[in-house]
Amino acid sequence: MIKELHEKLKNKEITSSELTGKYLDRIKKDNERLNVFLDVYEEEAMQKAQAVDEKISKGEKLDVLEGIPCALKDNLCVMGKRTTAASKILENYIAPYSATVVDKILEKGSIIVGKTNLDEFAFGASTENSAFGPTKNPHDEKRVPGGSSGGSGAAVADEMAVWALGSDTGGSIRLPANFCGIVGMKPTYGRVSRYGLMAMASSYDQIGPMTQTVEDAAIVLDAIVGQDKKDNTTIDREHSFQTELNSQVQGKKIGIIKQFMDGSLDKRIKNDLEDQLEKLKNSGAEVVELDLPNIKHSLAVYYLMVPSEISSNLARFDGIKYGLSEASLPNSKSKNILDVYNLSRELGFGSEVKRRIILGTYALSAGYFDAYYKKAQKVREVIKKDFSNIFKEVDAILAPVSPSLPFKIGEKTDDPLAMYLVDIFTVSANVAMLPAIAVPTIKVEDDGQHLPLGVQLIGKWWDEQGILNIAKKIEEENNF
Amino acid sequence: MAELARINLQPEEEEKFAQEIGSVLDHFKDISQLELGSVENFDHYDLKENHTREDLFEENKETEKAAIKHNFPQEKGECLSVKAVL
Repeated sequence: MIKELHEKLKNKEITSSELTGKYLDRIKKDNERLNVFLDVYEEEAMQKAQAVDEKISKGEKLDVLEGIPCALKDNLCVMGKRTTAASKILENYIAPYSATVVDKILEKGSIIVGKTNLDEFAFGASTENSAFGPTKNPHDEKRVPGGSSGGSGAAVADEMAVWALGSDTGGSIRLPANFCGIVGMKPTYGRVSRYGLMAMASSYDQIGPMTQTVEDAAIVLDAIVGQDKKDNTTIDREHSFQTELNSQVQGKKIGIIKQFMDGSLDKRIKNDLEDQLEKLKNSGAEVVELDLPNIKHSLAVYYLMVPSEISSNLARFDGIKYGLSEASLPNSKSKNILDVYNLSRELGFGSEVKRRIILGTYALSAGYFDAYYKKAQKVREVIKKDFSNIFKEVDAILAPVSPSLPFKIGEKTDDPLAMYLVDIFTVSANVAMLPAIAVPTIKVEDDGQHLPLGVQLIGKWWDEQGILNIAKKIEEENNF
Repeated sequence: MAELARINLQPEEEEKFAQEIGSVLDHFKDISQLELGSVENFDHYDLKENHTREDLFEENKETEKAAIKHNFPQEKGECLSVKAVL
């Protein structure tokens, strides 16, 4: 889609103003109903679009992303703009700097139409934890769009933006991509700079593209990757994902994890996965069954390590330097600095945020650190080593994204553990720091609605190209 | 734990979170019983050089200073105002 739009802009079949205006109109039409955007930048978007049109009229060269509307998850800082992380504690926070990925896409001439809704601080799998109300799934408004990048997923699915950026710590790009019927990719940890992404779990977080097509994901990925001196977990690996994109799977070895197929997986999802494997086999790929007994600990590793990192990262929200401060409220009860911390955080954080901070504090506390956090770290290394051994046998792993179809709004909100179990197939890629991509396949009918299904591919470290290529084949085979 | 986490909780929240967090920890308790011994660190990076930036002083631009000050919950003149620590 991005390339087609780029050609149309170059050939003056449409203007960037017309294109951007069309997407802004869609936002006006659907946003109140679906609650996708927390902020819309109508005026700036149209000004930028006009600037692109002037460039085109002068015959100047356009970057492939130039003049094309996109959306950003609202945990990505944009200088001078409100960045809330969907939390009351940052409801009026204006970012004093931009994330590196934001600088990169603006340099390419992208038009940011606004900031999308998310689970508060990206803690969640449904976008129901937002302090500003849940986002609804464009395929069925009674259902969740997935989370935590649910706003970005819904924006692309409902054509409010051509593409979007999300963040993925335990599946937060791939799950909403799956529930919204679009493509979503989590790169290898270290591929994309996290500078300017409001940190959730610093050894898990990655920013990635959410797009209509696999090719679009490759184009956006090209724009955002690269070493950044402001994030020393990034490295440079020169590559052009778009240029090297193909759908050749002949001779590829695709693994299927035995343990993922044993549990309670919706029958339709299991059938679809098996169909996709069959199609890949018919195209010349070889399917290998993999036994990964330690993978059953991935969820435990995740839910012990991530809250621990969260408890540390969210200590900065203390009502002192920025954000909601109880001390500045009329009728403040704060008598001392400790009161400011405790009361600001009580007022500013939602339940899930409080829950995870307290869980993380517990896992890091004296007497429990060895049994929980340190043990989880060790198991993480074991799981990484297991994947390293597996990837000597296969080129990629095909797996489900979610154990169920998109669930109804409110269905899991009273049971945090049930919500955490939604991540069962996505967290392994984050635990092992591997790249993974969700791609839609077919639609199925459920309760009178047509809902998207999809699969994910997990690749070797730094082999985003490999999984993009296989994902392209799946896309071609299914014509979603 | 809430006190350590610097979050004030209402009594009903304390009870609810204790139950919920207990349930989560119970579900994941097997991991604390795993016998692993010493585990080697697995690094996917293949780093050949340090990637940290140089420790150089840089003056904030006026626009950055203004943006930072804009977010101060309470100010006194040019300064951030906070309750006394001691």
